[in-house]
Amino acid sequence: MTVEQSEFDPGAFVKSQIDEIAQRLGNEQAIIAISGGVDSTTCAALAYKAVGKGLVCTFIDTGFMRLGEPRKVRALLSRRPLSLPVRIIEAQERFIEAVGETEDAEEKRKVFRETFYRTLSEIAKKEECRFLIQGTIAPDWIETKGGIKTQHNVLEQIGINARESYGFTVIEPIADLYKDQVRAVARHLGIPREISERQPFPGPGLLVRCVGRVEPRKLKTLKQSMQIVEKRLATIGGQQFFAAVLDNRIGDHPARELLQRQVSESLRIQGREVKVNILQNKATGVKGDVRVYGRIASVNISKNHREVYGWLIEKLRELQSKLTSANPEFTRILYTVKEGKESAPYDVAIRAIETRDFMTADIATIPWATLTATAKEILRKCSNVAHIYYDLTSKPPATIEFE
Amino acid sequence: MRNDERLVAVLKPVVPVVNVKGQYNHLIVRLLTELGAESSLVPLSVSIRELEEIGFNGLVAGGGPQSVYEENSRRELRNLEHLLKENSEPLLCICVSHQLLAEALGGRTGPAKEPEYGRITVHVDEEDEVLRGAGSSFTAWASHNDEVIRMPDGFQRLAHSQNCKIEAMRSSNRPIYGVQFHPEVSHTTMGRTIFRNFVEIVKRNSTSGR
Repeated sequence: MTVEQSEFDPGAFVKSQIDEIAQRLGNEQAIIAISGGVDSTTCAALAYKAVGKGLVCTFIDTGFMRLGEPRKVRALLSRRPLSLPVRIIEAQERFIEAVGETEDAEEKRKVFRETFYRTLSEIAKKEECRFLIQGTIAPDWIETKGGIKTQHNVLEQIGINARESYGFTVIEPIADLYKDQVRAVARHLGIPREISERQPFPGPGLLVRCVGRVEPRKLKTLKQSMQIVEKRLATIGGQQFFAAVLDNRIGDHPARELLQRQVSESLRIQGREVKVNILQNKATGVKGDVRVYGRIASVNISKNHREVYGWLIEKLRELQSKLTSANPEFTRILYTVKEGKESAPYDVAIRAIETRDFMTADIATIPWATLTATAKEILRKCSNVAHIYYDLTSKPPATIEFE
Repeated sequence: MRNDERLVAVLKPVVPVVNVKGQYNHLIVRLLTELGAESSLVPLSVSIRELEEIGFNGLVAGGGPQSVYEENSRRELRNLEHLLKENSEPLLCICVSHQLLAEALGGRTGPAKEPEYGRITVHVDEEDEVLRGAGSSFTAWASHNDEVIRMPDGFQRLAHSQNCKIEAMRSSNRPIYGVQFHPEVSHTTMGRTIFRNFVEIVKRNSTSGR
């Protein structure tokens, strides 16, 4: 008989980590930047248990947060049993200025990381903290080391000396854990369910869901869409669901007609009922463990068929597989759910996925009626949106986030 | 192997994982550990002697971004290629390592006509030991631009998919396996079964008193 280990023991982990943090800090102070997600909150709770007031707990408002998020998070964490005192640092303008007109996904992440650590390092100096506690988890550094994308909180693993560059030593108490294990630890620590079961939010926040260049109105549209998607999909949306905003600009690509034929064959719909567009924006993907900053195709089935066709998710999954397999440059396939004013400047994509550990992801099956209702509400509240898409792409060949 | 060493291997076999730099290599260690083996990542440069020093009873080689017929990749993988030839313990090669295994033992790897990213259906031709309990077909996750075009002599095919002829293969006379899909990711429904089978193969092998 095989004796299988009872997976992972959160109690033992908590105990050993509290001891280790206390020992490493000694009489030194540490700083942590909380995002309100399960990773950073778990680390804060561990460190607070280890050193109490020796922990300076901050929340940096980068401007790429969801509507009302900073205050909501502070209120949640100040409650018992956590009773974490959280300081909000207003840094929206600094981040918007730093990002400027940067368009490339990797450049945006790098600018964000640099601004984030500069800001944090200034506070750390003021508060005399020589240690930084952060909630890096296993997939973060695996992906960064593999060159897939730059996570904002990974320094030491990629050879950036935090002490030299920013003046603090980094402690990463949960760096070997996967998301499901972190949640187990969070529950063990008595962290409220709103946080322990909360869907992950990327380090650079909405920056990576504001595809391409950041513009104030584009970001506002994204925040409004996020709110609608989170509300509408709350009970059926899979482990993670969110909105992304793209430019309603069509790129020029020789493969357009070929893709159109492939869609028509795969769905067995006449060619004139199918329209494929290649967007100007690009999105991060991963094919055969290699990062591809790939093209995005949107598939538009004529309205009649869309209604009759409804929501044959298996067919659309197959379609996505075929298109991304046959066209090496493509890493995203979007399916048009509803259309607004054709001349509007932006598009919104709804993404909902099923995943255990965020290393791989499948798209969630959402009732067509829910999807169209969500799309309708977005179009009603955001007059500058031309198309609402559902993202059909699994991971791989896409990554979970757009950038 | 001495008797007490064999006993230890039955209780907790040592199964290191060669880190071929793919994103999922860590998941293999996680699964093996959960299944009661002692596992850790070892670098591409690891030698057979170093593996013997840690008392390995079986070996897994993970996936990676390389393309085995491309010169620089092949150079990067040269040490692993030797290792795959020299090793005499049970071996499971995944994705790029599966392709390298084919090349190393006289088969052939080339670009896939229809590469697979994400969900595929694996059709089992032969359950053998490693796919035991997987049924006639199962859903798996794959991510590869290349594929095994011809198996080495003395290998048999265990599974295929619609777009890929050789999803799984084994040596007919040794416990050496290659799989093109990723059994270590949670979306591969039979992944845990496959690793449990492999751990069993390792245990049986280390007590067979060769």
